Amino acid sequence: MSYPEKCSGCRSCENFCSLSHGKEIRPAESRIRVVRFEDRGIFIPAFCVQCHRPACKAVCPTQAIYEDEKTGAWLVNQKRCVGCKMCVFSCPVGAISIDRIAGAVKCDLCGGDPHCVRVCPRKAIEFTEYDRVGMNKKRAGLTRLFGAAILKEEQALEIAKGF
Amino acid sequence: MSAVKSYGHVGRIAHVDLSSRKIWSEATAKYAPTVLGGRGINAKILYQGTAPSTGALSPENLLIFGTGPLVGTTCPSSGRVTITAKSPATELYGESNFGGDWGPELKFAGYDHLVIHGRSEKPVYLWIDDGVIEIKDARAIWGADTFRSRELLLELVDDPDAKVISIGPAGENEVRFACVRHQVKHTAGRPGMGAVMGSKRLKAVAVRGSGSVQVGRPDELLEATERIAASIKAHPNYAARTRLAEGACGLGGVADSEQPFGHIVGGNFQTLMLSDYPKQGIEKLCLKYGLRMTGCYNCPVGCFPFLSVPGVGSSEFGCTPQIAWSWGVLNPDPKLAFELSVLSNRLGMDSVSTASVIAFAIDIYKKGILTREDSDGMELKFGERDTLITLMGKIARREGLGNLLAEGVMRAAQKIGKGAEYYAHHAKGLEIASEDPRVVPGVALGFAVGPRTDTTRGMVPTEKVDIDPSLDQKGREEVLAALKDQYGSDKVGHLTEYEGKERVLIRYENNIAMLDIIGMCKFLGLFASGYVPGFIGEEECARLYSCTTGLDTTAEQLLRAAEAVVTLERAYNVRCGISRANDKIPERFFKEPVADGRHKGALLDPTRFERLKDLYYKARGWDVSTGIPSSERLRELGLEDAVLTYAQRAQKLAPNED
Repeated sequence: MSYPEKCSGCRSCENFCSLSHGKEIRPAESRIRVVRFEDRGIFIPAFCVQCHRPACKAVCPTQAIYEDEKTGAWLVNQKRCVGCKMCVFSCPVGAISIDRIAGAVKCDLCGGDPHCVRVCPRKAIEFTEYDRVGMNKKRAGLTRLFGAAILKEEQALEIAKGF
Repeated sequence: MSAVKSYGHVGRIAHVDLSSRKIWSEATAKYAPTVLGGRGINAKILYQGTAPSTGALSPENLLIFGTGPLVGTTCPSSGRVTITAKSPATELYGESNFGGDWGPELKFAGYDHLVIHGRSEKPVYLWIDDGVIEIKDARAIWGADTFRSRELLLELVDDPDAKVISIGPAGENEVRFACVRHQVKHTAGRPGMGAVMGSKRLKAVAVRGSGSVQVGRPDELLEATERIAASIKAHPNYAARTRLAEGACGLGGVADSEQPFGHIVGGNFQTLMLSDYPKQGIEKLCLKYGLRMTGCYNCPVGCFPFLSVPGVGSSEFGCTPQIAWSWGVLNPDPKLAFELSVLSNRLGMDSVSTASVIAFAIDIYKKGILTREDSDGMELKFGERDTLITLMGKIARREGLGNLLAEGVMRAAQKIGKGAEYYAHHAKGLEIASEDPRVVPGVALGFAVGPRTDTTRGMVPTEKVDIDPSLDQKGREEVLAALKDQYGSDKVGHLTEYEGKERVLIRYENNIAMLDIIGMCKFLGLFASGYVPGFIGEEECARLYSCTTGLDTTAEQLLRAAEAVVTLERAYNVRCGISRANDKIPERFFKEPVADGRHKGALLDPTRFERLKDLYYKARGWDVSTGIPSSERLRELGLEDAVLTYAQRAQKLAPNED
């Protein structure tokens, strides 16, 4: 889950992703990228959201994309990948890309403890179960709606009465 | 290409001669011993590549962009670039540092440093695309402000993710305090690096890199940087610098938070009494219009409040412009301060110098030294929108009075005469502003002896323990005891004291130089510390340096390199003719006491000030009577190369030396 409103645009996620997967720092091939709108001060972390019915898997001619039993992440079997880029064309958010050596690469959730989430200084990316996404989003949205008031006892009471 | 694998550094220094349009590169390793990287290598290239007689705005000056071995890695805030050239403000060593993403991108494109030689006939920009450097026609963007330049350039290179640095109209017109701007929120300000870029007719440099930075011990680095990032987040100062919230606006509230100390200058040093200005005004503005705190490459802190004010625009609003455009020009309106800050960003001028040159003009206009005829028929008033905006535009375009002011306060005052020089506050040509040296002798010393004249930028955080309202009696005693342990005297914690300030200055100068050399941000070091250790200590820097380069290095070794670099920069200035006699600050600070405020009557004591200089030179290992580092000292620090070219000049100035 990504919270662009919190992102400071620092790209720690890209760098740590790149170092932990490739033993070097090469953000151009990182599996998470920050899409930047510099002049507006808006930064959006973009990565694979692990679709339920992934287009990349559907179009792959060699069935190289398979599910990690432990984490549910979609992984790429590099031995099968022929580098045809069909997955890149089909992914709606550009979350899968081709690197120079391995072929198709995408977020593998670091085996269940994503590095990017650990290092993000603003908690702008979150690793959570599918069923929590909706609730977390609701909570965040309503807190924003009522502002800090919801956190203060007496005002919270008024809000509660209002409902 | 070099056969030896390079860790940390990507291995090459790019050279571009805009006169002959020749492009070549050389190995970084050639320069790396002793000075290690970043600001150090820059200083070495400048020292070797320019003559003492080279004019700052002449084609012979070099404009050097330097990253550092840690830039573009997972090390915290490792996105810094040092720009070095002979400064148009001082005609001496000049250096400026900026963050953002340009430095890492340059390394991903395959270069550690970029050195610009010569001068192009027509406006050009550089396009560096994965190691390939092209000199391109910039006539289509010449004249555009820095925000628009970036937009146009991204279209020209057809890549919205390219990283751009550019100059604005001020740089094009060689305003002596023009800055270099990166994206919308980063500035390399102060000693006129933008003017050097303009004198070379170089409008911008766009970079795209898809390569990598290789590190010596990737697993160790991953572990160390993750641990350090976590410890930074747990730091007691972390929350205050990263949130847009009341009392915690990061740098967003610094103009307000500095007010209680009573040392901030208003209107060309005429008042230190700024309580008329709405308290919390800037903070309120940041809270109302702030989108979020944003940051540089891989920075866990992110100290830029990014504001979007309807009708004014979107940009960051950092600490120095806040002070310069509110109190510096006696402007009570925070929104106008932001507007002025955005305008100076667009025009590409240093906020501190621009505000102080404008304050100087208004001040001497009020005193009758500058007449209405001189001011192009304009009434000059402090805090008035028309005056401020019109003057800023005129300076950038070098029109009328603006042409005079674009030379900076020192040269402008010399030309005006009639006693104007008394009101021109500068150290060797670089404007002194924001903090009053009469109140803080430590600041006075920093301006007098620093290689760039203001390397620490002013008061250090531990210098105000005695009057800090946030400390209770017990807290105060604890901090003072800790300072006594460290510096041998608790006087260093007293704002107006002299004792021990030279040791504090050296400690900070070296810490900052070390971070500039390896490529990390000085706001992670001592400078951000307050009364607790900084976000990152020197031992940790050494560990990161070792993991990245694969060379075991201790903190002492890094600090030794920092000491060498500061001395090399001093040697550069000495070669240009600087000695102790030039290490001075305006006489007004010794003659005219502070007029008002909590430090009313404060004045610098010449004897104690000179004594402070003695102690500084001595601790640096420079000759006390001349302020010149001896040839032995240069050799001791591993600066043999500098000795030969420098000895003659130094001997001429130092008859006492054998």
